[in-house]
This record gives sequence, C-alpha cells and structure tokens, in this order.
Amino acid sequence: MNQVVDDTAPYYSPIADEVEIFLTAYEQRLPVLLKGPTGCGKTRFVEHMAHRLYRGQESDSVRQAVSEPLQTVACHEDLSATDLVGRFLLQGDETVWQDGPLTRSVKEGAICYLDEIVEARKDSTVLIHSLTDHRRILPIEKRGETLTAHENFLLVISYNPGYQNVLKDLKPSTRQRFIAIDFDYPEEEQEALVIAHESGVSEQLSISLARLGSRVRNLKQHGFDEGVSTRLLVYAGQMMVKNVEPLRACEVAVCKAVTDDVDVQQAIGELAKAIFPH
Amino acid sequence: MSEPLTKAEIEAGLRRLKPAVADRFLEVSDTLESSLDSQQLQQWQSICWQLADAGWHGWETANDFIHLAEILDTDRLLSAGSYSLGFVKSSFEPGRTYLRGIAQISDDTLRAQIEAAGEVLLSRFQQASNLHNHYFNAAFTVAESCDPESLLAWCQIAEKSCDLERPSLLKFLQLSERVPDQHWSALIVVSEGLYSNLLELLSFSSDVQRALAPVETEFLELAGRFAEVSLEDCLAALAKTLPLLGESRSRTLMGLLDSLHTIEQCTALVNEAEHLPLDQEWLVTEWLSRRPETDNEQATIAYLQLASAQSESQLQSLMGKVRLHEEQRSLQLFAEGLCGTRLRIEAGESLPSSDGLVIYLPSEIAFYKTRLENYRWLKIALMHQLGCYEFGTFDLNAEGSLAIFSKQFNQYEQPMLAEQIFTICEAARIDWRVAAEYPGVAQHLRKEKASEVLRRESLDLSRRAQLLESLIAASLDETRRSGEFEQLLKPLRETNSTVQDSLLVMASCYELISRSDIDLAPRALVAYRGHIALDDASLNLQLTALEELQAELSEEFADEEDGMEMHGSSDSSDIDVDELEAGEVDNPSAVMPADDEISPDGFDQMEDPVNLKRLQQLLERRQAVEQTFRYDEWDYTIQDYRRRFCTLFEFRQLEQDFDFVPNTLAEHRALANRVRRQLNMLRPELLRKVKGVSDGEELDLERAIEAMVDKKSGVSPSEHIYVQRQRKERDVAALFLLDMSASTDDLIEPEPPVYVDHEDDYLHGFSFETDEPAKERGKTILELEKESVVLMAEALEGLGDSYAVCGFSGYGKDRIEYYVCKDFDQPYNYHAKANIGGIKPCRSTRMGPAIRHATKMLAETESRIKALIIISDGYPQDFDYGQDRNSKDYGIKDTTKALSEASQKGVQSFCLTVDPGGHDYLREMCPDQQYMVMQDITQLPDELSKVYRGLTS
Repeated sequence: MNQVVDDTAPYYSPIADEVEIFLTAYEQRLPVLLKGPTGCGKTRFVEHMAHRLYRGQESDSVRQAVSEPLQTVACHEDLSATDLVGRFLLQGDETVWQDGPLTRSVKEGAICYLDEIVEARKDSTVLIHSLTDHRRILPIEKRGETLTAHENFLLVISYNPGYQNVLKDLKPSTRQRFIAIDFDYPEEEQEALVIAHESGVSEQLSISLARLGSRVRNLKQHGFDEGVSTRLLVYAGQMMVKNVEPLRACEVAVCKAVTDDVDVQQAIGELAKAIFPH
Repeated sequence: MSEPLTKAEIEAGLRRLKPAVADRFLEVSDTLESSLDSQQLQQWQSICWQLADAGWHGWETANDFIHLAEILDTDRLLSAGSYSLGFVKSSFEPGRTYLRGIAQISDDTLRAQIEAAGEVLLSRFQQASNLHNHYFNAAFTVAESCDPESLLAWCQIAEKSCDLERPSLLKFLQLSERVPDQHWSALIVVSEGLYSNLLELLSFSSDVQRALAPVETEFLELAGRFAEVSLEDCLAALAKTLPLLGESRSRTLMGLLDSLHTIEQCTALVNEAEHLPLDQEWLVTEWLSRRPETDNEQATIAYLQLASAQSESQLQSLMGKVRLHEEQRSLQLFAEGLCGTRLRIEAGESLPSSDGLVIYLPSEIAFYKTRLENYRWLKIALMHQLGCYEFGTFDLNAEGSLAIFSKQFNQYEQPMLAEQIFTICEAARIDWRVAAEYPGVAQHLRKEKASEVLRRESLDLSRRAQLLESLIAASLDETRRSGEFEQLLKPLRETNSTVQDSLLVMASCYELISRSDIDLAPRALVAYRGHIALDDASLNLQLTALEELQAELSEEFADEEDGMEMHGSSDSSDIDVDELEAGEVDNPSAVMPADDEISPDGFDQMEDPVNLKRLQQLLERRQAVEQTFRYDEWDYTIQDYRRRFCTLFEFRQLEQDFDFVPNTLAEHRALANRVRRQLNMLRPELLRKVKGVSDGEELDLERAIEAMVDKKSGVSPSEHIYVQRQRKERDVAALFLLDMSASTDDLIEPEPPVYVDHEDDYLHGFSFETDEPAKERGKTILELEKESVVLMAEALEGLGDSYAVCGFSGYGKDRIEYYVCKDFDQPYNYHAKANIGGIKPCRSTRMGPAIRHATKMLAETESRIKALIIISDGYPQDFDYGQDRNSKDYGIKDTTKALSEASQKGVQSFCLTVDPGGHDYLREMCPDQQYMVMQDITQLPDELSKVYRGLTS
C-alpha cells in the first residue's frame, strides 16, 4: 500500500496527453484502465496523479484530508474478492472484521489502484462492476451491508495485454466500464531523460542505457514476454552511479534479470558490449 | 650320347638360320681360340648352337650370346650361357633378355641372386616364358635404378613371390618394371604380410609417389606394421590425401598415424586429414591424445573422422575456432535485437554477405589464434551487415521498383565501376556510423580495419588498380595511401549521413577515377565487409514489407477467413511459373540488369500495379520455399552424437485434399461426438474448495472452532483454519506426429467386430465398427491415422487446447521430410483440413530427427503441458539408419535418445503403434506407461483420445 505524503509529486514524464485525460476522467469520476507492459510507468503515473489530485495543485481540502489517497493492490492469481473487500479475522476470542483496501478507499474517497487486474480471480473482477457504473456501490456480502462510494473515490486498474494468454483476457463486461489509456515504453530520448532523472546517472550513460533498452525490446518474443522495462534500466543506472562497471551493471540489471535463457543472455550481453565502450 | 657338333657343322646350321649370325660366330670363335682351351671353346660353340636351335628366332639369342663373348670373361660367359639355356625351351625371349641384361651386372653376388631367383621361378613355372621374360626385364630394370642392396632385397621378394599364383606374380613383375625405384629392403616386411598390400603400394601413380617420397620411411614403417591386414583402404586414402597436403603436413600426419592401433583408425584419420590443422603439430597431437580411451573401435573411428560431437568440440576448443552454428542462436538474437527486423543468420561462403532475408556468415572463423578474436571478427562482420539495414542502405526511394541500384549505376558509362565505388563508399559510411552509434565495437572495428590495411599492403597491385585501392584505403581510415579520397569521403563521416550521401560521394569519386585509365578487375573484398547483393536485398525488403501488409490485411478480414483463403488459393494457381523464372528470388543474378527481361529502361514504363503484382508473385514463391534444419543423431556404437548429421526439410505447402475431412466427419458422426464428449471432460473444473489452508477467503468454521478449543485448553492451535477456492487452468500444447512411411499404405485386415470385455473401459461397449457401414475396400493404416487425428482435431477445437498436426517421412539422413499440416497458431480452417487430408504414404521412418524437430516446435510454444503423440506402424528404419541396414538397434537407440531429449525439454511423449510386434522395441524406447500397442487398429480414435486425456490432465 503506497502512500503519497511527500510534498513533491513523484517524477513522471508524460508521453502524450495521458495526464490531461486522467484529470478529466477524475473530474467526471470515470474509472480508468491503464494498459501497457511491465515497468513502463503505470504505477508511477497513478502515484503522480494521486499526488496531484490529493496533495498538489489540483487538490482541495477534502481530498487533502484523506490519509492514504492511493490504495494500490498488486493482483495475483490467488487474490480473491475477500482480499479486496475485507474479512473476519480471529482476534482473541472473537472475530473481527477488517476492511480490505478497496473498502477503505470506497469509504475514504481515495483512488484504488488494482495493478495487473487480470491476474486476479474472476470473482474479484466481478466485484468491481457495481462500483464502476452509475451505482457506485460496494456490496459487502459477509456483513450483509452495501457501501456507497465516497464522492472522491476512483477506481483505476491496470492490465498488461502483452503476455497474458487468451484465458486471462479481461471480460468485455469488465473492460467496458473503463476509459482506457495506453502506455508503452518511451522513445529512446525520453527514456534517457527518465533514466538520468531516476538514477542520477550521467547523460552519456543514460543515452546508452536507453539505446540498450530499445534494442533489447526488439527481442521480446524470445523467452521473456516483455522487453526490458524502464524500471530495470533505471536500476542499471543506479548501479552505475555507485561505480559498478557499466557492462557488469547491465549484466545484473538487464541480462540476467529479463531471462533465464543462456543464449538470450549472451545476445543481450553482446548488445551491451556493442553499446557501452569497454 | 651323340658326338658334339663340329665348328663347321654349327656354322652351317647357323647359316641356314641366319647367315649374319654365322659370320659373327666364325669371327668370334676365331678370337676366342686364343683365350679359351679347346674344351671351353667347344662348350661355347655348343651353347651357341643350342641357343640358336632352341626354336623360332633362336638365332637372336645366339647372336646376343656371341656378342657377350666380347664383354664377359670366360667363366662368366660360359655360366651365363648355360644358365640361359634353361630359359629358351619355349621362347627365345627370356634368354635374350637375360643375356642382354646380365652383361650390365658386374657384381657376382647380385648376378647370383638374380639367377637364383630365376631358377626358383623356372622350377615353379617351367613353360611360362612370358613370365620369365618379365622377370628378367624387371630384375634388370630394378638393377639399373637401385643400389645393390635394394636389388638384393628385390630378388628376395621376387623369389618369395614365386610361391604365389601366376597373376599376382605377373603383376608384381610388371609393377617392378614400371616403378623400379623403390626401397625394396623396406618392402620385404610388407611382402611378408598380405601380398596384395605390396601390389597396391606399387601401383601408386607417380603423383602419389612424389607426394609419398618425403615421408617414405614413415610410410613404409606403417605399411610394415600393418602388413598382415589389407592396406587397401588406407593406401587409397593416402593416395588421395597426401598430394593435397604438401610435405610438412604429410610428415605431421604420418607422425600421428604412429600412435594409432588399427589400420581402420589410420584410414579414418587420413581421410579426414585435409580438415585438420596439420600445420599446427602440437595441436593435432594434443587433439589426438584426447581421444576416448576405449575398446570401442567405432567410437575411436568416429572421433578420428571428426564425426563425434566430442571430437569436434575438442578440436575446436584447441583451435580457438569459432563455429557459426554454435553461436547461431545468440547471434540471431543479437541481430534481431540490434535492428529489430527478422534477418536469418545462416552459414554461407567464406565471406559475409546478405540479401535482405538472410545474413550469410562464414561457417567457421579461424582468422585469428584465439577464440575471442575470432568471435570479435564474427561480430564485427555481422554488425557491418546489420549496419546496412539499420543505417538505411536500402532507403532509396524504391517504391515498387525491382532493381533500384542497378538503375542508379546504369546512369554511368561504366556501371560496374560505379557499383564498385558505391559499395566501397557505402561500406565506409556504414562502418563510421556503426562506430559512432556503438562505441563498444568502435575500437575492435578500428583494429580490424588496421589489420585489413596490413593485409592489403601485401597485395600485388598493378598501377592501374592503385586508384581503387586508395579509395579502399580511405574507407579503412588509412591516411597514408588514401590521397584525395580522404577529403572526398568526408561527408560520409557525419553521424547523420544517409545512402544519398554515399551516392553523391560515389559520383565525385567516379569522376576522379574514371578520368584515368583504370583496371576494372574487381578488387579483393574487405574480408569483414563481405558483400551485399544490393538489388536482391532491396527487393526482399520490399517483399517483407508486402508480406507484413498482407498479414495485417488478413487479420482485418479474419472474420471472413474462409472466403479469404479461397481467394488466395485461386490466385496462386494463376501464376505463370515461366514468367517468374527471371525474377526468382533464389537466383541473385536474376534481378540484375544484365537480364534482358528486366532491362533498366523497362522500369520507367512499369506501372505501379504491375510491379506490385510482380512483387506479390515473388512473395508467394518465397513463402513456398521449405526450410531446412540440421539435427544431431545419436550413434550408440560410438556412444556420442554425430553432429548436425541429419538434414530435415520442413514443408508447409502441401498437397491438399479438400474432401477428406468432411467425408471423415460424415462417416463417423457418432464417434466424433464421443471423442468430443470424452475430451470435454478435460475442461477446467469449476472452483474447488480447499480446506485447511493458512490463508484464504473464509474461515473454515470447524477448524476455527477446533483451533479455539485447542487454544483454550492450552495446546498451540493450528493455523490452517481458512478455506480457499482454487482451480486449475489448461495450458496445453499437443503435437500429433504421423508416420507417413510407405508401410502405412497397407490395408487394415478386415476384422470382425470384437466385443471383448475391457474391464477398465466402459466405452468399448460401443465398438468403432458399429459406426461404419460395410465397405467394399478396407482402409489403409495411414487413412485411419488421419481419421483419428481429424476426430481429435475437431474435439480439440472445442476444448481450446493448442495443437499441431505434422507428418514425417524421408529417405536417408540428408532428406528427412517433415510436413506441417497445422501449426499451433494456425487456425483449423479450410487449409489445415485440406493439408491433413492430403497426407500420403511416402518412404522411410527415420524417427529421431522428426521427434527432435517436433520437440523444438513444442518447446517454442512455451505451454505448461507439452504433449507429443507419435502414431506409427513399425520400428524406426531408414536405409542408412545405422551402418548395418538390417539392424534395428541404431534406429531404436537414436529414437530412444530423441525421446529422452524431449522429456528433458519438458515434452511428454507417447507412442502409439499398430505394429503387433511393437512391444519388443517400444519397451526399449520408452517407459511402459508411455506407449501402447494397438491390437485392433480400428480402436485408434478411441485410444487416441484416452491417451490425450492421460497426457494432458
């Protein structure tokens, strides 16, 4: 569960008009679906937007009062409705109800961000249906009650169309409740800026890293489903800042991280050797 | 005994025969009177007469004998004379040869030896005057060209040879005559062994003799060592190889043979010697000493032939040689990463080249001593080729044109020269851009350029070639020899230079060069830059773009799939193949302007749609080309893999039969439903509650209470008090591999419907036969295989598993055919159905490579469950599946290995066979639960679905 407490908004470098679209969607309280590959900045984008809406220039006093403006849930294949809504726990001799993250944000009026929604079980995706249309309600079966969402509540989900197989596609009934914003890895130049900013690495190295990133992404069908993410490139940059030799940094943060296939690792290693002077 | 003839009588007799001889006789006889006593004289005269009187042309012998009197002393004269008498009984020739030859031999011992061997010969073959004649001819020829010692040895051999049959002896004598100059003393050992070896050895041609000369001692030693066995193969191998090797390498080779234990091993090594780095003696010696220490002769031989994987890798690691096929995948990935497009990397000629589809690299790189350097070279060569694609060599505005480059060059008076200049300029530009863009390779590129400059300095150049050479020097950053060109090439050093810049620079260079009288012979290529077929590459890139466009379009029309396919197929039949010949993609020269049909002028007139149509036709041709794969094969006799031993061709354009699938379905409606029902049971179950887990959605009331009770009573409570709901999803890829061997064409014996009690199977209640009406003609095994697969396919479509249907056959290790009827990602449509319908019985059953290929296809799907189902009708066999054609072992062992490789790669395999004798070998090939022998082949569809269920659930 992330918190946005800082005064400065988390760094985000827009690719297109996604910031404006999101603001408008929030104004109209339209649920948002973010599509894009791993590590391209979806989560960072939501954090950035949450900060702007709850702490930054677009906030108001009600929103500033929300203690946790962003509830992030990383969905996994065992994530069930219970995990989102809440459950009874044993505490001492009695059962106590504990709100799940979704329930908390519905009550408080925060942004609830369900990351990689298709990973979750179908029952949990159905659960959000009533929250994402005009009703804006959350039924809590186990307690026999129905919550009406706070007016500031917004549901944001993300989904990665790349590697999930057919069985894990979003159902149209779910999909068609969201406006969808596409994400992809930024262009080389922009990615270099992001890497430089995030890792503090020199401009020269960040350009090389971005170049490596785009080359490695050409290989994404081979054993790893996504290209190398911007996140990993930033990691590599962070290693370099601490004086790890560039090729070694690429080896640990890129080659070995994206795949277990030895040939692919070797190929990426050779790409790095071509790009970084050594 | 009658009185000896008088001198006068002899003279008269001689005069009757040949007056000249009589005159000579008188003359010599008179001279001799002074030196010989009367008895000797009489003996001499008598010999003269006996020789002359011996038969036809006897006077010739007599004449020679008379002549001898002037040369030899008395004793020798008379003994030679009496000796010769023994040989003149059936022909004058041997005697004459002897008498003429003996005069040359001054040494008594030698003479005695020759005569002694002659005696032996005479005693064994009394009437064989031809043989005798050959003997003396040979003896004296050898005497002429060898030293006494060697001659003695020869006599010894010859004497011994008299024990042989006449033809061998004759051959020996003839060969001795032909090649008298031998180390006969060394050959004694050889002659004592297998005699044919000696003959074999002597029959070498003069080339071989010459090649053999420097290593003769070693060689004879070898021959002596293996004298008891046939040297024939080894000698043939040496005869073939030695002339190619040269002196020092031959010496090394002979040295290596010393340490081998059998002649077969020697033969194997000699045969492969050409491919060994014999100029590095320590290396090959080391390689040889690393051979497996085993009694397994086959394994050793395979090692020596460089056929086994171990041998190859040992040699390679010693040599620092880089072999492309071992680096191929990672380089392929590297290439794909670097420029994003899918360019295949394949082994080609000695220099790199590319054609827009494939980048050809040398299959072995041994420019340098170490592996690292060789690998770097390979990488630089690859990056140069890739650079052409990345940095826009083909970015000329080439919309719909077929020979855009030729068109450019043809604007010049000397298009060839223009092309050469352009190639150099463009290569220089690419190198500079690669260096700028990829600092990591910049320094290696610099080094490579420098060593290329060095290499070129040693080239012998005519003055007229100097200009172009200077241009090349400029392109290689060599300032000393580049002259004006350095300045001219400057624009290409810009980091944003394009192919247009190269064209401009080419124009100015052309102007400079064409002014002088220039040698137009193509310059030696810069090794790492190799060659690019400009027009081919540009054409292929356009085709690829078109292909992608088509793919996009067909995706858009995916809903009207069948309609599209129909359209496509009718189109392809329209192609006029003859018309296409000229532009065939495989033929690089075809699109060159030299071809009359596509003259450069023609391009301007070509309307775009025409060009497009042409491109489309070329594209279809390209898609029809089959792909080839090489696979290792397990040889149990050497306990190692034979590297890249089999060649497998994958076909995707197959003969089609559109009626088969609908007919099958109509015929077996009930069975189809049953198979579908059975498979539907595999559908993922609904959510299942799992109780007693540590984390879950709900509390498990009972366990929670228990935990509470435990807690109250002071026992530590269990944490497993939650209920979770789980379910499994299917992620299955299945490949059906059909045996298409000729034997599957056999008819199935019509059996009466059998209703046996199969206690374990309720489905046998419905027997397969009940679905069928009585037929006039039985079905073949293959038809039934196909039907079963069709039924499975229909059912699998419902289940949603991804599956492929393939068939295999072939003939020999170099032609394994693999037919892909339906690939995993291909829809089960009109086409796929027709492909399955079109499967026909072909030839052999070489199962190993087919299984390896199927495994490769399955592994690429990355599904969680990968199932390989093989349906065959007999044991694996092929005409060259193992050395012994009648032995099943080789094929079975290889197949076993292929199956275990499959299981290592996570592929579960299952063999279904209809061969009643299948238990014998299947038990060896796979574990019990992974095969099934069908007693009644008509049960195949039922069994298949059961097997499928077993494998994938």
